[in-house]
Amino acid sequence: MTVQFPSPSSDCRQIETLLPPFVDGEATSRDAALVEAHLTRCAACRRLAQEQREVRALLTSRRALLCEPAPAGLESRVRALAGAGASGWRRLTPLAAAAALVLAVSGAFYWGTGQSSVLLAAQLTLDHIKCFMIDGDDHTHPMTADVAQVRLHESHGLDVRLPAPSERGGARLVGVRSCLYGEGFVAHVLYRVQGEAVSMFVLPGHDASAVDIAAFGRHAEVRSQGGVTYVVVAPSHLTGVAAAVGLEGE
Amino acid sequence: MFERPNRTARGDGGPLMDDALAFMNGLYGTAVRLTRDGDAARDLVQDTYLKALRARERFQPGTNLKAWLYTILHNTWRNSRRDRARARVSFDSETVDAAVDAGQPGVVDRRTPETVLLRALQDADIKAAVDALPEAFREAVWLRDVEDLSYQEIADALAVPIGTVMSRISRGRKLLHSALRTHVATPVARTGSEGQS
Repeated sequence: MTVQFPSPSSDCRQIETLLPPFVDGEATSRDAALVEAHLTRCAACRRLAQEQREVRALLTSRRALLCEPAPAGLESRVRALAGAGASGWRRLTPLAAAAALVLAVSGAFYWGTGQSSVLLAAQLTLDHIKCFMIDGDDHTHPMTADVAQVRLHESHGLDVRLPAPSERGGARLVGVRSCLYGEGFVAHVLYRVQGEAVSMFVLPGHDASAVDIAAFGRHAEVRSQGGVTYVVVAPSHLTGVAAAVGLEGE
Repeated sequence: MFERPNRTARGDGGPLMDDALAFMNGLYGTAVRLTRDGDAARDLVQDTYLKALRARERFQPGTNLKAWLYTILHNTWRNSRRDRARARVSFDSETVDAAVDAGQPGVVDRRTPETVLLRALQDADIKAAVDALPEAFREAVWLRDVEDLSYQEIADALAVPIGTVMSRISRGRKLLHSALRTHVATPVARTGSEGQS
């Protein structure tokens, strides 16, 4: 009398695993028969099956609403990164593809390979231009340096110390990203200084010599202090930008 | 020397690129659920496409492009967190396995017309409940019930046995049901009865 049913724990555990394809109508006939036989005698698993149906029905009926569409500009950004002239993705040779990537992301994989500060500044200038050209409109809401640090930590796993931007210098910190440089370990901090797009890249542990360069209508300054390198990129006509974003000694 | 590469117009990226970009919304939606952050999701999707570009020669034309892209998305996400969150991920999964096994006291005995109540949930409530799931369950349930991947495709994308996928979906749906039922069971203000006698 007491062994009329199999051990509920092991049997129910097995059935619980088989329930998703069963309620989705995708179980094999053998598994479906096994589940059906069990459900006729187990109220707990019948309830579980009903819960599974309800959750699946809910999610499938709301698919279009639950799945946020990709932001405008992301597709063009990906196309810009992937495209190399008119050659197209599919027809690129491996070498051409590698060269195209280096150009397209402005040398994303060069960081940490001992490149010169001039090259570093030029590459980061291109990345600055790319980010603001493609989705610069997204970066309009100011935040404090503390909030930006938390966002860099929580969203990108980057622990960097950011200086507080100078209100007197007309600087507002408006966004943070993890840059493609150094496989995503470079913090890209976006500012508006007197309304103009300004970037600061933070390269922890990178020791670069101080250099100022002008390229592509922008001015890039590389500064190392405390084992951290900061690269600030701003339009050529803006002055005092490093001080405006809070870097010392400017 | 450092000239910006020419921008390609729509359609210049080749057929594979066009096909791959057709999955961008789904990839982004999944990335949002994984990262729980719009900026991080955007970066994750961008990295996914760049890696697909670099690995394109390994893609066999005629095979499942969608599943291939989700595999890259998942691997990119895991790799990006590997060094800084490994301990938390394993702890997360084990603890929740135990929690699910132990049941959810306080909600299991409440019998209500649930299907009706669940329908009343707002999309934001559902997203919040999904986001609160442990990652392993969240990803499996999302890929199955929202992105409509098959069990085998999910197993391939997550690089786990299909039985593990079934188990994660079962547990994920169970947790989600408990969370949503708790939400709809929360008393709400009643209106419209005042003045009637």
